[in-house]
Amino acid sequence: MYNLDIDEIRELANSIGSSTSDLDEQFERLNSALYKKFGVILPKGLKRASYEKFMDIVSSPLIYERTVNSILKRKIKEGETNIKLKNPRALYRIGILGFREPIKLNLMVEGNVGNFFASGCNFIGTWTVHGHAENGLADKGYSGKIIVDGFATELAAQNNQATDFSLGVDILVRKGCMERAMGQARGGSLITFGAGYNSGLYMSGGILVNLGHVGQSFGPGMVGGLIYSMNGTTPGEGATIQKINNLDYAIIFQILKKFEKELNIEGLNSFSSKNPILWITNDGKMEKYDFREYIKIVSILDSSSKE
Amino acid sequence: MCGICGIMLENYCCYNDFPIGSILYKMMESQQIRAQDSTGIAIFNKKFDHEFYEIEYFKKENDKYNRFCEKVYPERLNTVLYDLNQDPNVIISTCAKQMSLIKDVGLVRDLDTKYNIRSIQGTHGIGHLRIATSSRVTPDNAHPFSTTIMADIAVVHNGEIANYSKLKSSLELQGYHFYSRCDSEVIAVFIADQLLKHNDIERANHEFINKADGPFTYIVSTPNCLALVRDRFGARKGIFGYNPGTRDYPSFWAIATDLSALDCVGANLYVETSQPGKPKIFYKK
Repeated sequence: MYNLDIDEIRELANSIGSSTSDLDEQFERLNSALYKKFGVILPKGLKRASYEKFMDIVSSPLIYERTVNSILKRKIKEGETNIKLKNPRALYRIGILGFREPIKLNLMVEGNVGNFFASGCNFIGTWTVHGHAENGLADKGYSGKIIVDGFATELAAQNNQATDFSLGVDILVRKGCMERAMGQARGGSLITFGAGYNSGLYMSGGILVNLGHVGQSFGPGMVGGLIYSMNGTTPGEGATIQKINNLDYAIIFQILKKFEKELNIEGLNSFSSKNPILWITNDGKMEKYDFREYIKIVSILDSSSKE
Repeated sequence: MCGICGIMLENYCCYNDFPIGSILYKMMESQQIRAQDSTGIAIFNKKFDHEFYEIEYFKKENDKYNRFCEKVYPERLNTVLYDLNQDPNVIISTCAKQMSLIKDVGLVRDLDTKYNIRSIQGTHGIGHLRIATSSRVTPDNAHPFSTTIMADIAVVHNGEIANYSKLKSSLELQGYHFYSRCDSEVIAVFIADQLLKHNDIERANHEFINKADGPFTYIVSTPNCLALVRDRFGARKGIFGYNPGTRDYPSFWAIATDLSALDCVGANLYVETSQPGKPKIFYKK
């Protein structure tokens, strides 16, 4: 397990910042210190971007984001498959690594992550966030398994990709997704203990299973995909509500199976329309879920083609 | 992608001297990644309540914005405002009795270096980080926006008022003066106009939601409350949470764009998003 405390990078930068105010020199010294300690070099364009945005080098979040991702990338290339990140302090864009092929990585993050965590991710393993995630969690994700202990604010799993070579990311959000979960998703699955307003916005693929609080207006502009929830409303156009059938039990089974261990699900192996009750443990609390009370939200296009 | 935040202390009587500027600073600093062009805060404290009004304005001289403050007694208020409005280089930013409104270009740390915002005491307040979309990066276009038609009202806004020109024209026809080219100013003037007519903050915000187009979340602050308001579709974020406090530290409600801003000030209880199209109002207790 490789441990990276992001505060160490901050301290390194701050010590350079306290010894020189010349921005060019700060950048050069930071780069040489990062190379010495972590074997990474930041591109020069970052100096200008940091100056234009933050009028500073050593306190610029852009520097930290890029450094963290560069270190992750280097460690993965060296063959590391277990990495722990500490003190992300809501840094944006952690986990945007840009590998062409799927990577093997178990990533554990201690703290809140900012916008676009794991954006474009394509990995085998589990990424766990012991904190909250902001907008665009796993945006345009290709594959992998992500667990968020806190909330995901907006657009969790948005643009998730089902392609010739991927099915999208499987995500569990333990406290709930605030709004527009799975917006524009084309694949992937999301289990959440709360789905806020406009979840499934413009969804064309993927599956959302909501086991918690329900917002309003599921699936505006929905053209595909499936949403399962205890109850809910749909907008005038786009989506419609149906009862769940035998096939739906099989689909829900497959989605929950991916997180069976993490949710300590009892009764899953016999789960069907005849045995619709599951006991699920989340956030240290075990609760009964009777799926006879659940509804399915599908696109009007899907429902009319079946009729 | 502006960042907004707000704080409402509970049991304000016990904590009138609490520097809520320090909480707002933390929340703004944690959201600085969202926006870097300009920064501003408005903090309310009944202790500021003098017999006179404080009118703050920027005077534009050779592309430089100098900040001025005048103390004006009520009987002279209209005359002073009239005179200031005659000068095309004057941009009034505040007309206040209980409010301290500070805004400028730059980052939140620059605002603190210049005005020591972390030490400002009060019962509630709002903060804003701006990334310019609809108007230039100048101090007069920074948030919070206030108005001269009603003292002690401030608005911070994230988003866009798509029918801003139409709303502004209709308010100008009623004789109201606008000082910036920023669409957000129309919220402050509209709400103030509604409050003068009905004195009902909830109704004023509902009226705005009904009349305004576009994606927006804003916080409006008056001496008695903070109101978090989102458009009907909830196109911009607005989250609130509660910090229960301790024996020596006040409990408070916090509002922010990013969840991390609530987390960094310990407002982790009862975390929720405000319902689209339904104002969430936090009254001073």
